Amino acid sequence: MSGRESKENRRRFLLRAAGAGALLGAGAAGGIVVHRQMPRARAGRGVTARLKPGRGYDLEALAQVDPALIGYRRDLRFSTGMKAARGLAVTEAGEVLVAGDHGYARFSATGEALLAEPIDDSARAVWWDSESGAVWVAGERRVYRFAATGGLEAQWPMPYEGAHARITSIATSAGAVFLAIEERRRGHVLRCSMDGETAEPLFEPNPEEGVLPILSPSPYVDLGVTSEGHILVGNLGQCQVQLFSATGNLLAAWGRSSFAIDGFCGCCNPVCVAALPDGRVVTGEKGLKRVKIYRTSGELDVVIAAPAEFSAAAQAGEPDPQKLKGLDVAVRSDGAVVVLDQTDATVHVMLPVTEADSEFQIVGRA
Amino acid sequence: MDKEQKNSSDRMTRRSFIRSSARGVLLTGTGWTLGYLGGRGTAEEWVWQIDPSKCIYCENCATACVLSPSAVKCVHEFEICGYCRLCTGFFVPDSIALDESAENQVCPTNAVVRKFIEDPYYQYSINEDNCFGCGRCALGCNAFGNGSLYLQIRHDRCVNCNQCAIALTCPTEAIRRVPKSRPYDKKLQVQEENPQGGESEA
Ligand code: SF4
Ligand code: SF4
Ligand code: SF4
Repeated sequence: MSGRESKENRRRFLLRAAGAGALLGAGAAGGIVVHRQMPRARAGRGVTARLKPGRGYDLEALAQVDPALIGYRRDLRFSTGMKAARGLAVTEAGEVLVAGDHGYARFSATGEALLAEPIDDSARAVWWDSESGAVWVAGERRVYRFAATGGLEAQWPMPYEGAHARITSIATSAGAVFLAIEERRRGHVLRCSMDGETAEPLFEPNPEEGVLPILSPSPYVDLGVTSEGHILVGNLGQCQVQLFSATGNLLAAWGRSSFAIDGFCGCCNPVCVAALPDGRVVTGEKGLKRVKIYRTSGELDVVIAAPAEFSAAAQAGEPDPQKLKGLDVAVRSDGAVVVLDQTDATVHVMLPVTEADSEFQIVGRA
Repeated sequence: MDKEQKNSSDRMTRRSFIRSSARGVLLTGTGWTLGYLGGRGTAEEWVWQIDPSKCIYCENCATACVLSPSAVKCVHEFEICGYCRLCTGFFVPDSIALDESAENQVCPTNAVVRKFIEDPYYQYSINEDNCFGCGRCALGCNAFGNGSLYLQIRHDRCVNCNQCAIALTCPTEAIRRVPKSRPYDKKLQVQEENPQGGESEA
């Protein structure tokens, strides 16, 4: 073979190799593109199941409340600055106590932070003792008593066995401390001595006699105390408010599950209860954040706050399962209702709408 | 002789043309296969999953998946569940009765199965063959209950598209890639990893 011929052969070989490389490359590029585009290409295919309208939860519609039923207006709203605000109480002077994170904080009636005191575990609930002025704070499994002027005075462990038990609410009445406890979706109320040395159940359930057991699908069993010293229990799993004497006799029980404004929505409400001086009961719900007043007979009296009162982040259906969802309520001696929104850790002070307010609104609107 | 030589060279050209074409097709096909597998290979290290803290149960998952029915299914995390008699993931709002009649159920395909455990507790599980991922049950459960029902892409059927078709249209960008070794976003697992984020309702 001459040198000229071998040169020609090399040139031909190189040309062929380049051509083959180009073809391989083009093929590979095509393959990648097809793989990338495949979902879009297939997305047009039909879906067997067709969605039928009207079967699910229309959260917007459920959250609507007839404005004519709302008898309170917001006077003040302030942030507690807490990550997890859990419980609320109000003193005689209108100071606001909030249990949250690892302690409790005291705010003036106008929302200025006055004091913050720590506890050893997560704070769940707080109570202001009108007889002594002491502040009682419940951790998950411990009870703490702070002096009226601040400073820890005493603490004792939850007097209840059960690895999964935790305190959800605390109250004092008739020289006793009452603890609401949740354990494995069941609730209990203990009447304890002030030093925590002795404790006994407030009542034994007896469904035949209408004393339903406390069910607690989520940890929100709440307590309140009436001006007569009776104990209000928010039996959320039964959608009931129960009223017991301090010695454990059932005095009243009412409530039903319903999304209608006079019911307690969903499976687990009310999540908080408090008593007005005249015996009417304030309730708060999660899911649809509604705060309402019921007469002692269990009829709806007035709506304090509709879901629209609370921030967008606190509305039903907001996708944040890591947030607390509930409310807590307390009553001020002048009739104001104070609400803690756990979702964004804010306090709302609600005042009854007076005739003067209505006139102002009418004038304002005109 | 000239004519004969020309004919013979023509025959050679046709043959070589066919040979070259076949070689070209073979090479392109090999390249295509390699490219396709290469594309898949990189996607297989990661899989698509729904972040339950972002999902708003918009019903898009039921229709946007390339599979029919959707690879998205409702899952039930029993550790969070309240075992309620009145489950808002099972019953329509203010249902006529608290029983299993179809008209009382929020699920359009009766895919949520209600089973009595002990008074007054019931267990709710998902029949995945009937579930098409509309999320109506999960919406009710998350809005009013403990949020134990939620949507996840099930990897026994998801084909792990290079670009998930649902992710393209998800209004809250809830769909993201997660390592194949941890293909599900369990709510409690997320909370354990982020204890400052809040508390479990359960
Ligand atoms: S598209 Fe997004 S928000 Fe809608 S249901 Fe699917 S994951 Fe949830
Ligand atoms: S309601 Fe929708 S997401 Fe829930 S089980 Fe039924 S089909 Fe599945
Ligand atoms: S990756 Fe594909 S198959 Fe999987 S959920 Fe998304 S669209 Fe459906």
